[in-house]
Amino acid sequence: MLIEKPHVGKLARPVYFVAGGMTDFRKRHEMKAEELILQATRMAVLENHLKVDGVAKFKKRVSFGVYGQFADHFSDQLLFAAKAHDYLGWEPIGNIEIKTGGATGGSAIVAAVMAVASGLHDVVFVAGCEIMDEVSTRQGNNYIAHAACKDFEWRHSRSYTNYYNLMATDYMKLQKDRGFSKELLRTALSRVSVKNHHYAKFNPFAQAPADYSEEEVANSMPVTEPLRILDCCLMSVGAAVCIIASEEAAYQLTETPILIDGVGAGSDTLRTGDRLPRPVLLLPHENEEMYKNFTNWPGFTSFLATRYAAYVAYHMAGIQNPLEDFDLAETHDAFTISALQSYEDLGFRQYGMGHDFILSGDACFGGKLPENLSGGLIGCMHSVGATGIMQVIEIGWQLQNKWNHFHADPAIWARFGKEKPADFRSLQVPNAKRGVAVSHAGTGSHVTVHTLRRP
Amino acid sequence: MKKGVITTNPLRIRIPRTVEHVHNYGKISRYFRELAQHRVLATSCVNPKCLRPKTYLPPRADCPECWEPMEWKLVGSDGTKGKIATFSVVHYPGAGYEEDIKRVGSKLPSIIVYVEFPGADTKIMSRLENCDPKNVFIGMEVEARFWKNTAIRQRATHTCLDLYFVPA
Ligand SMILES: [Zn+2]
Repeated sequence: MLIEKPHVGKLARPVYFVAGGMTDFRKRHEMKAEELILQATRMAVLENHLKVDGVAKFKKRVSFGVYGQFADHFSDQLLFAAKAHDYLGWEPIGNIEIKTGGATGGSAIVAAVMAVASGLHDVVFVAGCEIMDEVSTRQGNNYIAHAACKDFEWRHSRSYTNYYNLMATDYMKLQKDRGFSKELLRTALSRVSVKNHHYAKFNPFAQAPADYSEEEVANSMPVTEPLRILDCCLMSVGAAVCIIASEEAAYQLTETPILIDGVGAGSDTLRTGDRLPRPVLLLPHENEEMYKNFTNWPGFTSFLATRYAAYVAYHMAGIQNPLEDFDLAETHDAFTISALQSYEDLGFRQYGMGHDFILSGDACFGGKLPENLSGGLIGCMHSVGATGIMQVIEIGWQLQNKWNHFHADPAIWARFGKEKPADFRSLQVPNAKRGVAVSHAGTGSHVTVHTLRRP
Repeated sequence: MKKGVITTNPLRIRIPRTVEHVHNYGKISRYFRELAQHRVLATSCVNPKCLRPKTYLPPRADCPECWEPMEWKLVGSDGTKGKIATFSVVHYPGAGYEEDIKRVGSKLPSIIVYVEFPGADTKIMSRLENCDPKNVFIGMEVEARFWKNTAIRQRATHTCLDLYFVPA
């Protein structure tokens, strides 16, 4: 157990998001991992108006690759990085494969940022993918639960929904004790799902576009009570790729580089029950008075790792108040409950008021801090190794003012065998300047927070 | 369609698999051996220089704070009372769970609990039996039970399933 003041680092030189590309995300894909990555890479390199002419010239600029795949169990392919790397003809440049559970994608970006900031590389290629369709959903849940403690917790359900649900029960109790009704909280949970499925309707890459009612979410199949199937994220197949570069290289490659000005990574014990009480780690806009009665933080209700990563990233980027300073956010809505918890850990609301972020409309398009306009993990995808990369791309595209380019063009919908919906509307946040992306593993064992800014 | 072929385009084939792992409990082996004797052992840091000496259940052999080996400490046996810190009712578990709990005479839905055990600073995940899911609540008093009972031919599984709880 380490605290008290987190180490806030400094990038030795500025690092930029240059371009991103993705495949569509589905329950089952026709392509293999390396084929998906190649498709996503083509989009990143050939459809982002890069100032290099063609694949061969672009490839000359890249000197390192970072790959994200959460579980070798799923793809049944160890050293997946080697297969993807040589499929794209990157040899002999070096590469590494990153594995931090649900935060794999975010951690892959952390590694790329470190490689560029250190001066070791000028242009780094980042790719993530997860092949989750080789086994049944039940077996998939069992595999994912292998990311819980094998000795003491995996056998108790073999389901991460359950591990989150244990947190949900305590969160609901705590909120009830604070005077918030069960119905209010249920409505907040349902609204997260309704919102994210709804935004997925405007995302050609998304797996689960839908217009559900709050009642449909609340009455969907119970998985582990109170969490229902529509409170849970998707199991997806698909790939996401982005290009990270130094300032000089970024401006040579694109007219619209986006600065990655904050990078935070936090952790907590793998077993939720091992977490011992500690003082609340305060964000720049908070004070001790707000939490003077908190004796059991983080307990089962909060994610220390998220708070720690946010603290570091916000301090690096000079974020004074996340709700005011960011124009949009992509958070890790593995479950509706973890979305509410994360709103608090990220400081979008103070502890105990997470539900208000969604119920007030702040989290919606047109609100103060539109969140998961991609549809998030509930509406768009959770192809684990790709998830954190998808989030950074969605923020990057918004800040580059490219959201319409990648979402509104009927040709992109057609490419994925879909029809652009008749009631389509643009979710490009007008004049978006700053965004934040949060990648999250376990019940908060690893969390990364990246802040992005239009320079 | 040929046996083992799921679809032809793309061609997707079945790869059956049965694997046995030999799992090593390492320095916490004693915990699982003692469970079979109806004893719950935690580990405690006794290093006087430790900045945060705690008692861990689930046990860890070495203190995460000072990295010194910890000492075993008996914290429970048949009927030891603990409190439910939080719970979850499982209807749809991961593959293999139902077969696994059948070995200890249990079935779905399962009530999975985190229990505050007297004397331990951390909480342990377990299963609550003999309780209607509607009646479980945070703060509920529960009693430790152990699966192994040679008189009625119950054999220890040497897994965390050997310990469970019932309403007190
Ligand atoms: Zn110690």
